[in-house]
Amino acid sequence: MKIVIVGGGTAGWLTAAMIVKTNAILKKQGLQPVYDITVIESSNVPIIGAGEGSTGLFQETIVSRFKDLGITELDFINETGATLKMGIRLKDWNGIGTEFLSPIQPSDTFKYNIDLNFLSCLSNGNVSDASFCGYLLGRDLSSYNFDRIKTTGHHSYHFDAHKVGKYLKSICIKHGVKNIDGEITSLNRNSLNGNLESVTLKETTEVITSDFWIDCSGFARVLVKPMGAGWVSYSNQLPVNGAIPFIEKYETTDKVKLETLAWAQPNGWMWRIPTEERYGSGYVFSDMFTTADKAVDELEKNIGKKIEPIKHLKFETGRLEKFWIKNVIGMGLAGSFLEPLEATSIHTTIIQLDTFCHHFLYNDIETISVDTIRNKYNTHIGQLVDEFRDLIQLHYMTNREDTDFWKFCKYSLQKTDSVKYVLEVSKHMSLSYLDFDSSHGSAGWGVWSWTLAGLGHLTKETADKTLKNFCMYDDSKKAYEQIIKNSKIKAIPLMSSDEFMKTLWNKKLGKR
Amino acid sequence: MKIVIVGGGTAGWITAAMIYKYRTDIDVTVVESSKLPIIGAGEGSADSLTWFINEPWPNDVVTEIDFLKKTKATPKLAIDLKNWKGDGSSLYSPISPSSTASLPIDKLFLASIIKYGKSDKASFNSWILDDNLSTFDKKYKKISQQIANHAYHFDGNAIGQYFKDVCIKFGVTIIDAEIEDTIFDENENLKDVKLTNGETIQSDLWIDSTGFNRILMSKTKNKWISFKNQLPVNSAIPFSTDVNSNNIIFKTLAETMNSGWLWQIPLQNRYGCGYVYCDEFQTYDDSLKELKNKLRQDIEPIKHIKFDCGRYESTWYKNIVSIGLSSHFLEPLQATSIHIAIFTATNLILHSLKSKECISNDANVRGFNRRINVVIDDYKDLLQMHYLAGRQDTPFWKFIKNEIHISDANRDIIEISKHRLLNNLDVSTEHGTGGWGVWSHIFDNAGLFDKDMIKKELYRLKKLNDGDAQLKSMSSYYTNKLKLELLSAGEMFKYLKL
Repeated sequence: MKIVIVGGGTAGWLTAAMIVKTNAILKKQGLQPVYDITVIESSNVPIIGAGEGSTGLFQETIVSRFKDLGITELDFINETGATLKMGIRLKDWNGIGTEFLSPIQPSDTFKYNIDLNFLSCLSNGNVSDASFCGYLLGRDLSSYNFDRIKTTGHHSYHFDAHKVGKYLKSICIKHGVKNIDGEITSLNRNSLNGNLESVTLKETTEVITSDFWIDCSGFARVLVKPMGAGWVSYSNQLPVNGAIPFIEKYETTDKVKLETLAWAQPNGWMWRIPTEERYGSGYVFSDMFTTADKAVDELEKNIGKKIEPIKHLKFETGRLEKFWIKNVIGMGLAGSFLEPLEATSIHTTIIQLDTFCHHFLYNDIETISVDTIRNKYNTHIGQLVDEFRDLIQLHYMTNREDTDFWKFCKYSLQKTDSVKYVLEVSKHMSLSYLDFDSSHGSAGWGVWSWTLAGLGHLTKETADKTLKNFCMYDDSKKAYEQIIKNSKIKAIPLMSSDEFMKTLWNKKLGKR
Repeated sequence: MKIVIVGGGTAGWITAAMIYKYRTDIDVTVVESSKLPIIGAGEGSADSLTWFINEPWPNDVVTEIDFLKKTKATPKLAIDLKNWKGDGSSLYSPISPSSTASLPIDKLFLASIIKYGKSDKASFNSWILDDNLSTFDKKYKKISQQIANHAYHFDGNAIGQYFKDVCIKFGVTIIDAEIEDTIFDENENLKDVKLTNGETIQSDLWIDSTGFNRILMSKTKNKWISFKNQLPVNSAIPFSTDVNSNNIIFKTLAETMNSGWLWQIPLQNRYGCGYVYCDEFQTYDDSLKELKNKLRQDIEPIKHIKFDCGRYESTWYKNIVSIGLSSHFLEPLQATSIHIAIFTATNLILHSLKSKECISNDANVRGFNRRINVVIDDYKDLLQMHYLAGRQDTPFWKFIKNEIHISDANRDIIEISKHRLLNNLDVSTEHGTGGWGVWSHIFDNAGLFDKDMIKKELYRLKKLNDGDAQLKSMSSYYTNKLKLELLSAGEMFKYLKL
């Protein structure tokens, strides 16, 4: 079966790699590979390279799923200039001077009706210590031992998206993925069933045919748009619509921190992501309240240095109404775009591919291309992206009222049903996993919990009350001490963040 | 926080016991009338009751053996679905699924279909049942849950009494009276309840466990959603027959009849039986006649029950929560009644009622109702799927074949099964729903696994797929080890009666 992927950005090559993996398994078993994969990309079109951070799922993908392709974690880190990501540090969101952490990993007890570890830490100390990953994040520790072999595994990555694309491309090419350089000028659809049969390329006028198509062409949406995909806009629910990315150099005194800094600004927020050679940074804002030029001034004033924006990105947050139309699936930014907060883009791509493979299970296209199956896929992915939208909206429900932007978020932004629900219920009790979507890939209580506590929607008083009603209040003190004690012991053999990254980089220099 | 439970049946006393087990901040009163009989529906359970009983209790007020002895119970390893296809064939719906049920490809399950023509051999429960064994471990002198889990069969009248005795040990307040009047405030919250003993009582939250009477909930504006067009039966004739230890098997028999199906549940002192049928196709008298002919013995019906399958739009409405038959009723198949009662009580006690303010918190109540409704509706679909297995020889079964309103979820599943193998992401993963482990066998019963499709897939994955080898090692593990460690059903039966 032939699959053509359009677009050679992160999503495109990740998609190719995931399908290559299926082939690799079959080949290992002495069977015929099922998929014939081609990636069409244009060297004239720059990639967006959104997502310089990701979630734990990406780490799992690199480490376990891509093992068959000969990828190891340290290799990946070395080749892509990646750093580990233990979580996000959210600064100034609930008022200037406030700060909270959102670790990659939830508390160990997040699947219970009463999340004892979480509540114990909220009640007795720092809530982020409820997760070992959060414990490390709060103390600038990495998840690697001094021998750089053993890891506790609780982390994700920060990376240079261009390098990740290139790296995955090299792996894919090694495994027989075909690569065509060209731009698509027209689509040729079957007049009877509406399927996409082939595309014509610019200049060479070459015609490429395929059984199935995956559109990873970013905002251009070269396939899904002409296929008639509708768009569900989130612009009423998410306040930002523009971004200015820029590069920040490391100062010689900088210690590497394994965290994404998400720093609230007068009209949005700024990200700062550490990679090997530089920080990838940017300001995400709303053009209803500021302009790109003014945004630069605001930011320079706040961070105390000059910046040089690489470009000015304008975007509309939202998703495709249907991700899978006929024999085409919209993936990556072509399928949905929220905003960089919580780094959901690559996560969604992986879940989309998981679900896609689940529906196919090595069957051929014709048997599977029925509306019932497509509808199920579209409903599932639609709900998933909607849930991430809700999670992101929650971040804007803060105490800040110092600018028109934050006042707007607090009083005028259209709250989604989930956010309304979560805010209302949190007034009186701590939520649990039961309150959230449990479908494959959704964030759930484990992720929501950090922001709810961080922004003060879930208070220490509420935690105390819950613990008391369930006669766990006294136990919670002991539980807290035990958690800290266990984490302390577990952390003894671990390298500090700065030490781990710099040892790795120095070793690389030595090799060169 | 004060809670008054109205109704001292199975659901009421289980809820009261659960509050005592997990909470000290709630003050519970149970209002029941010694003059009213309980329905005692449900002589079978799902494994949620096994969890509730086996998770340690303060001072060991409940233990499994104690429970079994006092409620005349036996363990339940599976439901034996007989003649649903109309060809006389049987299939177990086991309490424990296959050990590969959580994988994307349930290898053992598929291999079992190919090798044995049916999926149930993927579960140890079926092997144990086929040899008339129990799961009682000779060496450790207790019922093992490791390899094959169980649920229970019990006397529907005794289980309520059992948990009542537990609550009395905890010091519960019991009022013996009926409800005379209910007074609601301007926000539709239940304020006062006048009792026949002259007392008037108040509560922060009320639990309606009054069975089909729905004494509190029926006074509200809460709507009833009927499943009448999706579930075909509406009547039941319960009766008993004699039991003896020589031919006891720890399973619920669910065998189709001309206009419905027959249950037969082994208890320590009798078989609890019943004919569930649809009175639009067959009269009460004809149903009795059919029963007598089938069992070749005289039948003495205990009562004649009529029911309307459905649920309330909101299980929790204002300051009233319905638990048990007062909230919903499907039908006896798969013993969902006590399972959903336990699930509802767990959700309330362990999750949605963390403080008094939660009662008036609309969002909290909405979230609770959404979770409960997902579970009830999932079971409604599951039960409907039983009827779609193919029997079509009588007017009742012809009606199902040709005219019944198939639910959207089931229609989608049936359609998908024509194009690819179903797997665990096709069923709801929400907490409390049946999940793949239960659904998969019902799909198999309904003939949704095409053998050629399985063969094609297993061939493609042949070296990846060691389902057949796993099935072989399962068989040899069973024959050479497990089988020798277990008491026979008859031996265990005698042990329980001691």
